[in-house]
Amino acid sequence: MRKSPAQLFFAILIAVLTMSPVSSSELVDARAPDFALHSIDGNTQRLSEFRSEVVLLSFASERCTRCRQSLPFFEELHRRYQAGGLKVIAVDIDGNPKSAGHVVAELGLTFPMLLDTDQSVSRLYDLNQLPLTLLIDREGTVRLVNKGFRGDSGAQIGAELDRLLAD
Amino acid sequence: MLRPVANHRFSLVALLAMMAAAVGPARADGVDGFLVQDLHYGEVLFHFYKQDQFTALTHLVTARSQSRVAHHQDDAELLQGGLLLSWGQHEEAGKIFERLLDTTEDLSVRNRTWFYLAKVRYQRGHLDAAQRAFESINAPLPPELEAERYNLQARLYIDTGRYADAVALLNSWSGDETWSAYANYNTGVALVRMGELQAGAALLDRVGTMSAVDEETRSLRDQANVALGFSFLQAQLDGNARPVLQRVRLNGPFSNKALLGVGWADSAGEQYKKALGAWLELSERDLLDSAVQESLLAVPYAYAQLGADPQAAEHYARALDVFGTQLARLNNALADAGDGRLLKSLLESEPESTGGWYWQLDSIPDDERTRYLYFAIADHRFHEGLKSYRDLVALDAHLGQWSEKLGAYRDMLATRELAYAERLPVLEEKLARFDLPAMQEQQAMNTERTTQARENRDIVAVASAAEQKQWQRLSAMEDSPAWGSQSATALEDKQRVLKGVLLWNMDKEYRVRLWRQEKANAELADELQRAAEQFAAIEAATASLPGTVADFESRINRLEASIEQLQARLGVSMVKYEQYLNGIATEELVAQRERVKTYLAQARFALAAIYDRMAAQNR
Amino acid sequence: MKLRAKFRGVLVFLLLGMTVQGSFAESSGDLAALDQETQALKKSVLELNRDLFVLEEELLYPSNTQVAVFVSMDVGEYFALDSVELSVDGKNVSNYLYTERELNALLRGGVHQLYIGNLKVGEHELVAVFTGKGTHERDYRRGASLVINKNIGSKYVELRISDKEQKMQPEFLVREWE
Repeated sequence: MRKSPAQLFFAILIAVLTMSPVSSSELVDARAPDFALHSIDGNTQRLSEFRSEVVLLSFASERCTRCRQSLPFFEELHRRYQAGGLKVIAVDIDGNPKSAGHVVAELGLTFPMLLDTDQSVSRLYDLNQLPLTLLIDREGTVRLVNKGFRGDSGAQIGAELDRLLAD
Repeated sequence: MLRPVANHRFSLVALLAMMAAAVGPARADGVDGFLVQDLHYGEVLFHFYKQDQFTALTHLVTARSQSRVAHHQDDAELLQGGLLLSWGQHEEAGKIFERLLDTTEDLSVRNRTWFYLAKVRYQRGHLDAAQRAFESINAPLPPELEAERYNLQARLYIDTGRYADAVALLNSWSGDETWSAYANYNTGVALVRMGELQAGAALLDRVGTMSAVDEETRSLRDQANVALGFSFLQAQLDGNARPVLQRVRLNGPFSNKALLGVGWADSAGEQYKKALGAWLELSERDLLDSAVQESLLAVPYAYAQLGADPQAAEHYARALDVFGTQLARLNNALADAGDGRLLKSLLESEPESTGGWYWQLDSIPDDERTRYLYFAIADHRFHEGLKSYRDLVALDAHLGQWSEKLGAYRDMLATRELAYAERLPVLEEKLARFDLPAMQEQQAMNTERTTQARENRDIVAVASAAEQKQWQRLSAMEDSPAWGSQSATALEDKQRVLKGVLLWNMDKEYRVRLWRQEKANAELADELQRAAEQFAAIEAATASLPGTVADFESRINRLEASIEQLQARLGVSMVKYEQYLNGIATEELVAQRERVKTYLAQARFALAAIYDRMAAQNR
Repeated sequence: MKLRAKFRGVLVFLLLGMTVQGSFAESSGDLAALDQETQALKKSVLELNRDLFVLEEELLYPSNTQVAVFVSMDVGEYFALDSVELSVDGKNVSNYLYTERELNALLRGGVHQLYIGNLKVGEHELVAVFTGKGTHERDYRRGASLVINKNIGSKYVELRISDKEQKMQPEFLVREWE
């Protein structure tokens, strides 16, 4: 028995609070899990650096039609509201810089496109439907989760965005 | 208390500059020439340098309480003071700076501290004391602090009515233009209001022609040009006004006012057609803007001056219509004032004026209403209040997160207790089976035996088991009754030889064996000693664990109670801020309503006059 | 010239509204009282925060098992650090990507706490690898491994990316603190 006694009791039982994945339905009103990823320009962006701005975070894949439909809408929001404190970020879950670059060029997107190369962030956000769009308030709390971008999603997102920017 | 909107950028950069010139040993290391000697102080700086001031502050306070920044006393003190100050804690910051002045002899620290004290005192309205603090600075400060000092001194002069001193100071500034821009602007406006147009205009012009690097400075430049243009208009120097107003950006926050002013400049020179150009453009813009509202009357006025009565009448009629709607809306909004949610309802009622929300993929209404409210309410009290309100909201969220964490820690402790309760019987059983005292006794006996063997040179005692057996057997033969008789002689001889050989072998090995035995005894003694210590420690821990868990639990309880209390206080404060902000917004709306009523009256009067005129012509 | 007279009123209104910083005399007593309250609240929160942090650390990382690893930079030539990976006893515990803001903070002398965890008394192996771009866009990847001897009492390890030893070649220098 070579262990120090304190360890017998403390070391075994310490639960280190790591970021365990949250179910996306639990995300509303919860803290948005922080992450950092490379963008297609090679820069690293970290979510928590946008505290004090309202963040629209959307997970997309090139192969998903609705994703392609939603991106131009987010581009419009980006242009209109950037000055008012909105930060739009897209995460490409395939993580391929070339094809992501094509999409950005094709759709004329001017907001950052991040690459989730090992799908670690997708797992963190419990991605199970595409596109997954979240609105995060200035304190880092998730206020809206939109899956699939159907129907009046645009109106929903717009209305919530309104409220958040006014705060 | 005064904390101007424009101060934010100075605070941060000034703090950074302060750190660059901070106290430290002569060894230079890193870009800023500052050697970090305590890892945790470096960690605070990390957050500070990446502009995460709140985290920097909380980590600093914590690290100091844990005595982890022992090598950076004065700097940590100054940094904490600076961070507190930029967080709005001027009272606490002031105390720190006063204390620093009492304890430090370092001139550079003292000068910087005097500077910060001056800021604190200024913010608290102790203008004379602030001036005295400034006068205590006896050497140039680091460049960015120097710039802020100029600005603050200029503001101080303005606030104490020493305008000539302010102008002289600003004229002596030789650094980067943008740093002195705000000071120039404010002094310029103050001078104009006092009637010193020439002096004021010179300063405003300086700001109006400076090169701008970002939105903030571009905005200020526009603002200066609008102020200058209007000052000229008021002084009936229309010719000077126009070119100045044309410097204003066409689609910035001040473009509407500029357009209005340009129209006035033209109309003052009786260039009504030209004036119409600007005013018609303006009248198509957002009707919540006071300049746009003005244009609704200015356009028909211009038409009337040009003799185009029908168009004038048409536009007056439109104005009546628009103002009528506005008045109704304002009345509704003011009726909402009672529930204290005026701010929110104000924003939500906007869709009607812009024709509703159309959230289709291809068209989104152009809307800057959130920014509009921000600019429309130019009252700096509003900005101050809003900033503090946001600080409180952030704190509330922060405490909420701590609350959740504490919940998790509780669970963790419960798990620990449970695990402990499960493991303890198992452990105790193991301990019970391991009879330490008995083993120690056994070990003691072994040692005793070996010692005896050494003292008596007992080679048999340390012999191998086989040898001992053999020795016993051979020796036992000597006890037999037949020993010593004639018949046993051959056997006796054999025994003697065997015994001799055995003796010889045992003797040969004696030293080595003895040494080995003693070594083994010592090692075993060590192990048993260690084991004894561990058992003692385990017993001690076993006894204390319930206490430790209980201790943590009680701390968590206390902290949770504190969080609840603070959140309650925060809630009360936030409500008060909301009421305060609502109050200011209400004042603004009331002012707007009065203005609209005035416009309605003017439009009715003017329209009636035109109808009279048209009727008279037709007779 | 009726309009002119009207102008004056509006002008004053506009000019008044235009001062970026009004004079002190205009500030309201309401705001001052609110501000006092806010300051008191903030003070309380800061103190509570401190107690919470201290509790958290004692609970999660008691000093007899605590090990913390820090990253710092000391480079003469600009080095764009991209990421640092850390493994403890063969297990990857951190894979940190540095943003531009964080890089600047490091270059100014800030120190980043990369990892904090619990290790038993005894020997442990730490392996750290950093990647980034040096001058002339050269990609860099350098590692360091060390064995630490954990005793009772917190152990801090500083991984310093430095090019002092080898000009223009950043590498890891390791320093242990206790």
